[in-house]
Amino acid sequence: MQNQFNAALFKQSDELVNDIKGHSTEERIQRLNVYRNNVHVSLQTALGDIFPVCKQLVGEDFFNAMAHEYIEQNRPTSPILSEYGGNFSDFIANFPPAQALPYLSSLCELEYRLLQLTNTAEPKTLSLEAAQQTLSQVQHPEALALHLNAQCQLMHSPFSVGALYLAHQQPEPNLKGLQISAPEYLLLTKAGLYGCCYPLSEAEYHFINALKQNPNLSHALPDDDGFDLGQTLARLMTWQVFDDINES
Amino acid sequence: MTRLAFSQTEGKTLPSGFAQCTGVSLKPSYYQQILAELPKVGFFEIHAENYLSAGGPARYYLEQVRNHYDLTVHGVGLSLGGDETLDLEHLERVAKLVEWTNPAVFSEHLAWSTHQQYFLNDLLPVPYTEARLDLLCQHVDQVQSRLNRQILIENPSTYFEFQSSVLCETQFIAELVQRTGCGLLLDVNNVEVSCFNHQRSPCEYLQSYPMHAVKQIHLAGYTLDEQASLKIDSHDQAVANEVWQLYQHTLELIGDCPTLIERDGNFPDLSELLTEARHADHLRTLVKEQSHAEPV
Repeated sequence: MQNQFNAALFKQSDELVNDIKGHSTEERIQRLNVYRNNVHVSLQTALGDIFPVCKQLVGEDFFNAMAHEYIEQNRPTSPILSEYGGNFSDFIANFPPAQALPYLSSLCELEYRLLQLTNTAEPKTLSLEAAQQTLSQVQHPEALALHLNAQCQLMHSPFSVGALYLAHQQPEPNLKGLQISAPEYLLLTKAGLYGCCYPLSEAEYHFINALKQNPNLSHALPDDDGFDLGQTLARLMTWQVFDDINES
Repeated sequence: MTRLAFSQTEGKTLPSGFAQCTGVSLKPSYYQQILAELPKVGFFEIHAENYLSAGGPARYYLEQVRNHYDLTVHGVGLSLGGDETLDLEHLERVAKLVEWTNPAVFSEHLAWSTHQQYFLNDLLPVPYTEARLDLLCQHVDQVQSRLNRQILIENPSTYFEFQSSVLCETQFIAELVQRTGCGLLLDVNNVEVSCFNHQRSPCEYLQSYPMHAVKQIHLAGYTLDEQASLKIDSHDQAVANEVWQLYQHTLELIGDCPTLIERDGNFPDLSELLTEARHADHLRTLVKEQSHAEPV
């Protein structure tokens, strides 16, 4: 029964229609169409909730048409719908009607990763005060180890999707001055209950990437004259991305 | 063994909020208002699948709400009516949520939603056959054993009936209750929707429904399809007048029963749901007064 039903939902076969009560084939199909519509509309709605900025940017009609195509090829594999859409950004990258907006795929990757961060457990973090106190007592700076929490992630995009995303967190997005084609480095983490992103310089991005490999500060310092360690540490402490700072 | 164990939950004392006052669906847009105002509501109902994350606002606010109210957990993803074995990983996650929240009841659907590894996100109908009943009973037994509690099964809204069905819906549900010891969640809106769609009498449906097993009632709103020939269980409108009438009739048949105002879309101000809950409470009070007034 399920094979027939599933095939009928996605219009691969009408075999199920024979098992539907009705006065005419038209009536049977009308009844079946309620389920076809329910499945597509509910999944389109779910994708709209997962990618709200993308939906806002392209408009409801375009988004739903794109989502419809995606759903045909990629059904959810879990009843937890907030996990749906993991490859939506890859799909968009290869979806011809979306090519006029080359940043859309990257934006969707950002939205998806932030939602998944939101749904992770709240990380153990050092408060700004605790981090400041630890740093003020350091005796051997060369032995300092900066441990980033597990939720701390990096993203490099050829487009300014972080700025675009942040602008759309305001009731009236202000896109004036936003250069979407400028490449962007982002730190993704969790602030309170929600996933959030912060723009980084390229040197900061490489510094944090190195810290993720090896928390020893002396190994992570980038060979970049423009890198300001004090300023970067102050930002990272404010964003509460460390779960421990110690002298290893 | 399972059936006997769960039939013994009959008569178990229910949490007072759940038993006495009508509840409403818990939705993110209401979290802050609920916690700020602590409205008089019997309980809040959650969809299990929206609260399985390890953290984030859903889990945080659920914990806050749980400190003030009884909860009920309504599963929408176990696919009990499906051909395939249950997704044990998903059952385990639901079981952990049930252990954590200790709800007044856990309910699921007489429907399927998973095919192979794919989740279709709709409550799809099953043919009422002996073979399907056997499968469904196995799945209900399995869930009751894992959750170590009686679960309630909700009657579906359906838009077509199968030629291959050999039992009517109420017979099928009555057999399910008898074989598994499960309880029932009677969705009165679903009765209205299905009976309209299949040109049956909702009162006759209720007359043949195994009312002794009903432990909770759902009330919700419906919409009409484009041709206005089918009612759609959309949960995005206020409860319709004929559903209120059918609810009143249900209460007259079974007496007072814990009730939920269910809303899943087109969310109004919380006060509108509370008004509907108060109306349900009013009807419940009337039926309680009536039963007290009847001569012994």
